[in-house]
Amino acid sequence: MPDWLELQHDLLVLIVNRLNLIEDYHNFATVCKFWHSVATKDNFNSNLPRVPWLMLVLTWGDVYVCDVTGPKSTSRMVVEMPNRSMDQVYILESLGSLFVVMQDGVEIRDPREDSTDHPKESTETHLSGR
Amino acid sequence: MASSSSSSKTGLKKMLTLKSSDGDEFELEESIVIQCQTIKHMVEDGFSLIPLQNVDTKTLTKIIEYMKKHAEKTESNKEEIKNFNKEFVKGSFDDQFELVSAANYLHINGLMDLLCQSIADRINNKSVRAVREIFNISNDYTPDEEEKVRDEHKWAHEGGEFDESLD
Repeated sequence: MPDWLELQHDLLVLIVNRLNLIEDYHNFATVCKFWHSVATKDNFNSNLPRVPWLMLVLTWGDVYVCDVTGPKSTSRMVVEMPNRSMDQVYILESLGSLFVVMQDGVEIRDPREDSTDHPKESTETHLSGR
Repeated sequence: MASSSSSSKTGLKKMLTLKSSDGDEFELEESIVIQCQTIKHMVEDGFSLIPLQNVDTKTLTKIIEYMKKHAEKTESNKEEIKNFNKEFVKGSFDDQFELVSAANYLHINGLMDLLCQSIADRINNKSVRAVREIFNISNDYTPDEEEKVRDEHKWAHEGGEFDESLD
Protein backbone atom coordinates (compact mmCIF):
# COMPACT_ATOMS: atom_id res chain seq x y z
CA MET A 1 0.00 0.00 0.00
CA PRO A 2 1.50 3.36 -0.94
CA ASP A 3 2.15 6.01 1.63
CA TRP A 4 0.32 9.01 0.20
CA LEU A 5 2.08 11.27 2.68
CA GLU A 6 5.25 10.55 0.70
CA LEU A 7 3.77 12.21 -2.36
CA GLN A 8 5.93 15.11 -3.44
CA HIS A 9 4.83 18.55 -2.36
CA ASP A 10 4.61 19.91 -5.92
CA LEU A 11 2.36 17.01 -6.92
CA LEU A 12 0.04 17.69 -4.00
CA VAL A 13 -0.17 21.31 -5.12
CA LEU A 14 -1.21 20.17 -8.61
CA ILE A 15 -3.91 18.05 -7.02
CA VAL A 16 -5.31 20.75 -4.74
CA ASN A 17 -5.32 23.10 -7.73
CA ARG A 18 -8.03 20.87 -9.12
CA LEU A 19 -10.34 21.07 -6.11
CA ASN A 20 -13.20 23.23 -7.22
CA LEU A 21 -15.32 23.84 -4.16
CA ILE A 22 -13.89 25.79 -1.25
CA GLU A 23 -15.57 23.26 1.06
CA ASP A 24 -13.57 20.40 -0.50
CA TYR A 25 -10.44 22.51 -0.15
CA HIS A 26 -11.11 22.96 3.57
CA ASN A 27 -11.78 19.25 3.97
CA PHE A 28 -8.43 18.56 2.32
CA ALA A 29 -6.73 20.86 4.85
CA THR A 30 -8.42 19.05 7.74
CA VAL A 31 -7.10 15.60 6.78
CA CYS A 32 -3.68 16.01 8.44
CA LYS A 33 -1.06 18.58 9.36
CA PHE A 34 1.01 18.10 6.22
CA TRP A 35 -1.96 18.56 3.91
CA HIS A 36 -2.99 21.59 5.96
CA SER A 37 0.40 23.12 5.16
CA VAL A 38 -0.22 22.57 1.42
CA ALA A 39 -3.73 24.06 1.40
CA THR A 40 -2.65 27.66 1.64
CA LYS A 41 -4.66 30.55 0.38
CA ASP A 42 -2.30 30.92 -2.58
CA ASN A 43 -2.72 27.33 -3.66
CA PHE A 44 -6.48 27.69 -4.02
CA ASN A 45 -7.06 27.85 -7.74
CA SER A 46 -9.44 30.69 -8.39
CA ASN A 47 -9.28 30.18 -12.16
CA LEU A 48 -11.47 27.10 -12.23
CA PRO A 49 -14.94 27.55 -13.68
CA ARG A 50 -17.35 27.98 -10.79
CA VAL A 51 -20.99 28.54 -10.27
CA PRO A 52 -21.34 32.11 -9.01
CA TRP A 53 -22.44 32.41 -5.45
CA LEU A 54 -25.92 33.63 -4.83
CA MET A 55 -26.17 36.58 -2.53
CA LEU A 56 -29.13 37.88 -0.67
CA VAL A 57 -28.65 41.27 0.92
CA LEU A 58 -30.80 42.54 3.74
CA THR A 59 -30.34 45.90 5.39
CA TRP A 60 -30.96 47.27 8.81
CA GLY A 61 -29.91 50.90 8.98
CA ASP A 62 -26.17 51.02 8.58
CA VAL A 63 -25.78 47.28 8.60
CA TYR A 64 -26.00 45.04 5.58
CA VAL A 65 -26.52 41.37 6.21
CA CYS A 66 -25.54 39.17 3.31
CA ASP A 67 -26.34 35.52 2.97
CA VAL A 68 -23.82 34.12 0.52
CA THR A 69 -24.86 30.76 -0.82
CA GLY A 70 -22.44 28.50 -2.64
CA PRO A 71 -23.22 25.10 -4.15
CA LYS A 72 -22.76 23.41 -0.77
CA SER A 73 -23.27 25.88 2.01
CA THR A 74 -24.47 29.28 3.03
CA SER A 75 -22.48 31.76 5.01
CA ARG A 76 -23.74 34.94 6.54
CA MET A 77 -21.67 38.06 6.71
CA VAL A 78 -22.36 41.40 8.18
CA VAL A 79 -21.05 44.50 6.47
CA GLU A 80 -21.15 47.67 8.48
CA MET A 81 -21.65 50.79 6.47
CA PRO A 82 -21.94 53.68 8.86
CA ASN A 83 -23.44 56.86 7.47
CA ARG A 84 -24.33 55.37 4.15
CA SER A 85 -27.78 55.03 2.87
CA MET A 86 -28.88 52.23 0.62
CA ASP A 87 -29.06 54.36 -2.48
CA GLN A 88 -25.35 55.21 -2.21
CA VAL A 89 -24.09 51.68 -1.95
CA TYR A 90 -24.27 48.70 -4.24
CA ILE A 91 -23.08 45.31 -3.22
CA LEU A 92 -22.04 42.92 -5.95
CA GLU A 93 -20.65 39.45 -5.88
CA SER A 94 -18.14 37.98 -8.28
CA LEU A 95 -15.99 34.85 -8.04
CA GLY A 96 -16.45 34.60 -4.31
CA SER A 97 -15.48 38.19 -3.56
CA LEU A 98 -17.82 40.84 -2.41
CA PHE A 99 -17.61 44.24 -4.01
CA VAL A 100 -19.02 47.11 -2.11
CA VAL A 101 -19.37 49.91 -4.60
CA MET A 102 -19.66 53.37 -3.09
CA GLN A 103 -19.60 56.80 -4.60
CA ASP A 104 -15.95 57.33 -3.73
CA GLY A 105 -14.50 53.91 -4.36
CA VAL A 106 -14.84 50.18 -4.38
CA GLU A 107 -14.15 47.96 -1.44
CA ILE A 108 -13.43 44.31 -2.07
CA ARG A 109 -14.16 41.86 0.71
CA ASP A 110 -13.71 38.17 0.88
CA PRO A 111 -16.76 36.51 2.45
CA ARG A 112 -14.65 33.44 3.25
CA GLU A 113 -12.53 35.48 5.63
CA ASP A 114 -15.16 35.66 8.25
CA SER A 115 -18.78 34.81 8.24
CA THR A 116 -20.30 36.43 11.25
CA ASP A 117 -18.02 39.26 12.19
CA HIS A 118 -16.21 41.97 10.30
CA PRO A 119 -14.02 40.65 7.53
CA LYS A 120 -10.43 40.39 8.73
CA GLU A 121 -9.02 41.74 5.53
CA SER A 122 -10.55 44.06 3.09
CA THR A 123 -9.00 45.94 0.29
CA GLU A 124 -10.16 49.38 -0.43
CA THR A 125 -9.56 50.67 -3.89
CA HIS A 126 -10.44 54.23 -4.54
CA LEU A 127 -11.43 55.11 -8.01
CA SER A 128 -9.42 57.85 -9.57
CA GLY A 129 -11.12 60.77 -11.22
CA ARG A 130 -14.80 61.01 -10.54
CA MET B 1 8.82 16.99 -37.91
CA ALA B 2 11.25 16.63 -40.82
CA SER B 3 13.09 13.70 -39.32
CA SER B 4 9.93 11.73 -38.51
CA SER B 5 8.53 12.09 -42.03
CA SER B 6 11.78 11.04 -43.67
CA SER B 7 12.13 7.97 -41.46
CA SER B 8 8.60 6.82 -42.27
CA LYS B 9 9.32 7.18 -45.99
CA THR B 10 12.30 4.91 -45.82
CA GLY B 11 10.41 2.50 -43.55
CA LEU B 12 13.10 2.71 -40.90
CA LYS B 13 11.85 3.45 -37.46
CA LYS B 14 14.28 4.39 -34.80
CA MET B 15 13.88 2.13 -31.80
CA LEU B 16 14.70 2.84 -28.18
CA THR B 17 14.95 0.59 -25.17
CA LEU B 18 13.53 1.52 -21.78
CA LYS B 19 14.81 -0.38 -18.79
CA SER B 20 12.75 -0.54 -15.62
CA SER B 21 14.15 -0.52 -12.09
CA ASP B 22 13.50 -4.30 -12.00
CA GLY B 23 15.79 -4.72 -15.01
CA ASP B 24 13.11 -5.50 -17.62
CA GLU B 25 13.67 -4.00 -21.06
CA PHE B 26 10.99 -2.63 -23.38
CA GLU B 27 11.76 -1.78 -27.01
CA LEU B 28 9.66 1.01 -28.45
CA GLU B 29 9.59 3.33 -31.42
CA GLU B 30 11.15 6.68 -30.76
CA SER B 31 8.00 8.46 -31.97
CA ILE B 32 6.05 6.91 -29.06
CA VAL B 33 8.61 7.53 -26.38
CA ILE B 34 9.32 11.19 -27.10
CA GLN B 35 5.93 12.12 -25.57
CA CYS B 36 7.93 11.86 -22.43
CA GLN B 37 10.00 15.03 -22.06
CA THR B 38 12.68 13.48 -19.84
CA ILE B 39 13.37 10.72 -22.37
CA LYS B 40 13.16 13.13 -25.30
CA HIS B 41 16.05 15.08 -23.84
CA MET B 42 18.06 11.88 -23.35
CA VAL B 43 17.39 10.84 -26.96
CA GLU B 44 18.60 14.24 -28.11
CA ASP B 45 21.77 13.57 -26.14
CA GLY B 46 22.27 10.36 -28.10
CA PHE B 47 21.03 7.70 -25.67
CA SER B 48 19.20 4.66 -27.07
CA LEU B 49 19.10 2.51 -23.91
CA ILE B 50 17.35 4.42 -21.20
CA PRO B 51 17.53 3.17 -17.63
CA LEU B 52 14.64 4.33 -15.44
CA GLN B 53 15.74 3.75 -11.89
CA ASN B 54 12.62 5.24 -10.36
CA VAL B 55 10.07 3.27 -12.38
CA ASP B 56 9.29 -0.38 -11.73
CA THR B 57 8.09 -2.83 -14.39
CA LYS B 58 4.46 -2.74 -13.32
CA THR B 59 4.31 1.05 -13.54
CA LEU B 60 6.34 1.24 -16.74
CA THR B 61 4.01 -1.25 -18.45
CA LYS B 62 1.04 1.00 -17.67
CA ILE B 63 2.89 4.10 -18.84
CA ILE B 64 3.88 2.44 -22.11
CA GLU B 65 0.24 1.45 -22.63
CA TYR B 66 -0.70 5.10 -22.18
CA MET B 67 2.02 6.42 -24.51
CA LYS B 68 1.18 3.90 -27.24
CA LYS B 69 -2.47 4.89 -27.21
CA HIS B 70 -1.74 8.60 -27.13
CA ALA B 71 0.75 8.27 -30.00
CA GLU B 72 -2.28 7.27 -32.13
CA LYS B 73 -4.08 10.47 -31.30
CA THR B 74 -5.57 12.24 -34.31
CA GLU B 75 -8.39 14.69 -34.89
CA SER B 76 -10.87 11.87 -35.54
CA ASN B 77 -10.35 9.56 -32.55
CA LYS B 78 -10.77 12.04 -29.71
CA GLU B 79 -13.71 10.08 -28.33
CA GLU B 80 -11.71 6.85 -28.32
CA ILE B 81 -8.82 8.51 -26.44
CA LYS B 82 -11.26 9.96 -23.95
CA ASN B 83 -12.69 6.51 -23.26
CA PHE B 84 -9.20 5.08 -22.99
CA ASN B 85 -8.31 7.71 -20.38
CA LYS B 86 -11.46 6.92 -18.43
CA GLU B 87 -10.60 3.22 -18.35
CA PHE B 88 -6.96 3.96 -17.59
CA VAL B 89 -7.72 5.55 -14.21
CA LYS B 90 -10.33 2.95 -13.28
CA GLY B 91 -7.78 0.45 -12.02
CA SER B 92 -6.49 0.19 -8.48
CA PHE B 93 -6.32 3.59 -6.81
CA ASP B 94 -3.17 2.56 -4.94
CA ASP B 95 -1.38 2.17 -8.30
CA GLN B 96 -2.00 5.82 -9.05
CA PHE B 97 0.55 6.81 -6.44
CA GLU B 98 3.39 5.13 -8.36
CA LEU B 99 1.95 6.27 -11.69
CA VAL B 100 1.70 9.94 -10.78
CA SER B 101 5.18 9.94 -9.27
CA ALA B 102 6.59 8.29 -12.41
CA ALA B 103 4.67 10.58 -14.75
CA ASN B 104 6.09 13.52 -12.86
CA TYR B 105 9.63 12.15 -13.07
CA LEU B 106 9.25 11.41 -16.78
CA HIS B 107 7.44 14.70 -17.54
CA ILE B 108 4.48 13.26 -19.41
CA ASN B 109 2.17 16.23 -19.13
CA GLY B 110 -1.04 14.64 -20.42
CA LEU B 111 -0.71 11.73 -18.03
CA MET B 112 0.04 14.09 -15.13
CA ASP B 113 -3.15 16.00 -15.84
CA LEU B 114 -5.17 12.82 -16.08
CA LEU B 115 -3.84 11.39 -12.80
CA CYS B 116 -3.98 14.59 -10.76
CA GLN B 117 -7.59 15.05 -11.81
CA SER B 118 -8.37 11.45 -10.96
CA ILE B 119 -6.82 11.85 -7.50
CA ALA B 120 -8.61 15.16 -6.91
CA ASP B 121 -11.87 13.43 -7.86
CA ARG B 122 -11.35 11.07 -4.93
CA ILE B 123 -11.36 14.09 -2.61
CA ASN B 124 -14.19 16.06 -4.19
CA ASN B 125 -17.38 15.91 -2.21
CA LYS B 126 -15.95 13.48 0.34
CA SER B 127 -16.00 13.87 4.09
CA VAL B 128 -12.68 14.29 5.88
CA ARG B 129 -13.06 10.83 7.41
CA ALA B 130 -13.65 9.24 4.00
CA VAL B 131 -10.59 11.01 2.52
CA ARG B 132 -8.41 9.72 5.37
CA GLU B 133 -9.66 6.18 4.67
CA ILE B 134 -9.19 6.40 0.91
CA PHE B 135 -5.63 7.71 1.22
CA ASN B 136 -4.83 5.65 4.32
CA ILE B 137 -3.71 8.74 6.22
CA SER B 138 -4.00 8.79 9.96
CA ASN B 139 -5.23 11.86 11.73
CA ASP B 140 -2.23 13.50 13.41
CA TYR B 141 -4.21 16.29 15.07
CA THR B 142 -5.10 16.19 18.73
CA PRO B 143 -8.86 16.61 19.21
CA ASP B 144 -8.27 20.24 20.25
CA GLU B 145 -6.12 20.98 17.21
CA GLU B 146 -8.62 19.38 14.88
CA GLU B 147 -11.44 21.42 16.30
CA LYS B 148 -9.37 24.56 15.76
CA VAL B 149 -8.74 23.65 12.13
CA ARG B 150 -12.42 22.92 11.60
CA ASP B 151 -13.27 26.22 13.25
CA GLU B 152 -11.19 28.05 10.65
CA HIS B 153 -13.77 26.98 8.14
CA LYS B 154 -16.75 26.45 10.36
CA TRP B 155 -19.30 27.93 7.99
CA ALA B 156 -18.27 25.49 5.27
CA HIS B 157 -19.47 22.62 7.41
CA GLU B 158 -22.87 24.03 8.10
CA GLY B 159 -25.53 22.55 5.93
CA GLY B 160 -23.10 20.83 3.56
CA GLU B 161 -23.49 17.11 3.24
CA PHE B 162 -20.35 15.18 2.40
CA ASP B 163 -20.08 11.71 1.03
CA GLU B 164 -18.86 9.24 3.65
CA SER B 165 -18.48 6.32 1.23
CA LEU B 166 -15.07 5.21 -0.01
CA ASP B 167 -15.84 4.65 -3.70
